Order: sequence, then C-alpha cells, then structure tokens
Amino acid sequence: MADNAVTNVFGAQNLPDFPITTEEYIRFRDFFYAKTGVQFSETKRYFVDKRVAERARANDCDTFRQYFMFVRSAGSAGELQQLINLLTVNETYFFRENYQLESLVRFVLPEIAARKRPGDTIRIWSLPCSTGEEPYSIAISVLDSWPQSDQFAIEILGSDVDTRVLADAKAGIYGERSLQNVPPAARARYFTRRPENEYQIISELRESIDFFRLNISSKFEMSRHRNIDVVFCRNLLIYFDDVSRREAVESIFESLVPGGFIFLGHSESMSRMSSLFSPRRLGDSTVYQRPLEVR
Amino acid sequence: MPLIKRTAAPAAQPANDARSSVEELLIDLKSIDPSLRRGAAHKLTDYPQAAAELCGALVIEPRESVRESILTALIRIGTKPAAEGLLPLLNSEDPGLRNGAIEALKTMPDAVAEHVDDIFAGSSDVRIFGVEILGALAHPDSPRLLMRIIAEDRELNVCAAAVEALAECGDGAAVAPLTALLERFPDEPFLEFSVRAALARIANG
Repeated sequence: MADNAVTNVFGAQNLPDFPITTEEYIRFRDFFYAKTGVQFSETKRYFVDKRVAERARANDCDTFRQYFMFVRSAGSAGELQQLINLLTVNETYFFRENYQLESLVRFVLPEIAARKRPGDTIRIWSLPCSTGEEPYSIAISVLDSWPQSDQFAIEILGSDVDTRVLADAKAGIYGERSLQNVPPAARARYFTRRPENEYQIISELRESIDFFRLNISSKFEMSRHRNIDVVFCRNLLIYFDDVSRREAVESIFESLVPGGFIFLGHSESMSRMSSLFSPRRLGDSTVYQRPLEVR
Repeated sequence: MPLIKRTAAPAAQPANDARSSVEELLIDLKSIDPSLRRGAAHKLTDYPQAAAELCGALVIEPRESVRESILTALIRIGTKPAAEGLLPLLNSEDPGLRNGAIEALKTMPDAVAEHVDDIFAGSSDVRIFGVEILGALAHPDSPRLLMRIIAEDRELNVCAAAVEALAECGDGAAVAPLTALLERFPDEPFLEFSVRAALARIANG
C-alpha cells in the first residue's frame, strides 16, 4: 500500500485526494507540539489528517508541503490559530463532575475565606474554559450554594487557547443537551429562553466573567496571571506529553497563591505529574493544594 | 451579585518579562529566595549550555519545588551534558533526588543509550535503576540492551528487573535469552514465574 493511503479501522482508505505521508505527519505533529505542547499519537492520525486537509483546501493549497510552508511562515499566525481551534477538543456541559463543584463550595472556598478578610478578592480560574459551561457552572455554584459569597469579591476567569470557543463562551448560548444537569431553579434564574430550544446565560452573569485567550504552554502568558486561589484544569493535561505537562503544572503552581487549590479531571492524578502539590480529600473530590509553606 | 470582573489584564511580572542573560540566571539560581531559584530554572530551559550548572544546583538544592523546576528544565534541555550530570545521582542516598534523576533520564533516550556501559558498571542498585530507565526509554536499542543484561549480569535481582522490562518492550528476539536465563538461575521459582509471564506476553504481542 502506498504510504499516503492511510487505512482506517473499517479498512477504507482515508483522504485519497489529499495525501499526507507518515513522514509529513510526524513533521506536522512535531511542529504542532512545539507550538502548543499538544501531542498527537499515531492513533489520532485520521483525526489530524482530516483537519489538516480541510484547512489546506480552505487555503487553496494542493499539497501538504505547500500548506505546511504556509502555516510555518510568519505571516500566517491566524492560520495556526485556525488549526489549533480545529485540533483541540472542546466537549463539555454544565455541572460536569458536579461533585467537584460541591467540594469547591463546601470545603475549598470556606478554607480560602478563613485566610482572607471580608471584601477581599477570591480568584477562580477555569483553564481551559472551552465554550464557557465550566466557568458559568462555577459561578452558579458559588452564587447559589456558598453562603459566604456576599462577603467577598469573587473573580471568575475563563481562558482557552481556542478563540472560537471563547467567542461562544462570551455569547453564552447553549442547547438543551448542555443544560441537562442544570436544576430548574438555576435554569430559571440564570438563563433566558431563546428560539429553537436554546438558552442564553443572563447578561449580568455573562458580563461578570473575564474570558481571555491563553496558551498554557507559554510561560510568559502564564506569568501574567498570579494570586489565583482556585484553578480548574480538568481533562486538559491528559493531552500533553510528560515534559509539557510538568511545565504546565509548574506554571499553574506559580499562578496560585500559597494554599491555593487545583481541581483536575477525575481520571487525572497530580501524583503522576508532579510532587509540587499536596493531595487533599475534600468531600468526594481529591483536590491538590499548593503548600502554604513552599517546600 | 458578588461576582466582579477584572477590568484589565494584569501586567506581566517584571521578573518574567525581561529576558535575562544566562549569567544573571545562574546568579538567581543561587539566590536565597526559592521563588527566584525556581524562576531561574524555568528560564534556563532556553539555555542548553547551562545543563551542567543546573545539575550542580540540583545536587545542593534543599527545596522540593525548586528541584522540580530544575529537573523539568533538564528534561526539556535533554542533551548529553544534561544526562551526564544526572547519571551520578543514581548513586544518591536521597531518594527524592535519585527518583527525580531516574524520571528525567527516562526522557533522554539517545543521551542515556550512550552511557549504558557506565550505568551497568555501577552497583547492583544502580544497575536496577538502569534497567528501569531502559525499560521506559523510547529507544530502539532498549530491548537489545536489556537482552544483554539478562545474558551477562550476575545479580539475580538485576536480571529479574530486566525480565520485567523486556516483558513490556521485548519481541521474539528476546525468547532465546529469556530461556537461557533460566539455565543460569535454575533454582529460582520467582524468576521462572517472571520469565514465563514475559514469554507469554511476548508471544501474545
């Protein structure tokens, strides 16, 4: 079989009209990794090939080589962003892994509040925030379920490397499927109904969350964000290779205040990434804490 | 609503904003402030020529958080001098330092492969760490080197560790040396069990 005729699990040849050789795939994968810290295994080849071919056609490139040169050129930064948007995964919904939000309001925030004075700021960072379900879920949980919320100024930040999902997050419009775990009372309080079975987050809530683009692999970008009390970084680091993961964890460590907390996805374990944080069992969640005294 | 929106993105931290020279960073690496030392280690990632100094700093660094940053920088640098600076730490009495070095060396296949003879000239403990590294190393020669160990090493525990590693990365070429190992250590039931398990795993692909 020719090298460019990739066979998928069903035995069909993929993308015969836009061949990408194994060598080219590896070159692209290495380039993408260097730019973003996200690495794709061989099993992701069809996923990657398909999206690269899509962007190449959109830019009238006839060959991979032609497109790759275009992406790498300094004048095509926007095209790299388009690729990042296509190749990073953005699946989420409201109150996903809700037990972690319960741990946030029942244990984490009271502990943080005990170290602060009334009126102080508490910063919670959703990283990555994708289309906004997570930071809005955090906001709703804090407002509805944390009795001390009125005593503090609470900043909720949402960041993602994908500008397209950030635009969706700011718009705050969701379908029924995203809202399946939202209690009726919260649905009535924080959403307005739109045509075609869509719902939009009320403007007051939308406008109170700071959404901004950020590449977690950029130490410089990460260094701009300090004094964070809680980070939600769920199901992102699994896509990183070991060294990029270590670097990302260290950047988050620097962004957190001493005593600050990080929530990871339920299948992720900080102990396999770094010894910087102390695991804490708070409610049904394992949460990782930056030690008050840095070790 | 108690939620407030940040009105402007924060300015970059001055210490991270300015590009420091390698000389300045090496001074920061010796600072009494651990956050400065961590910051210096992060930035020295961009200076492969600082690998030896990073390794030197790692040996005397008392703070775990700074050690992590230095190890991450060395992993990212990943050059032969970085590996050479880490290899002596396999002899360290400090388990944190030793394990950090093992984890870092697992990510440096080419540099480690060049020093296999040095590793396997060491004590049996170091040889076992060496096997652990080889087993995890993404290097085409790893299975061959592990086969050499089970053919030559006189220490049962080193060979047993190599059997376990070969079970993960070996192929049909490992069958003969694995079988021969049982002849070298004929009265060791646990080794026989490990070898049988490795052969079964290799046979099943």
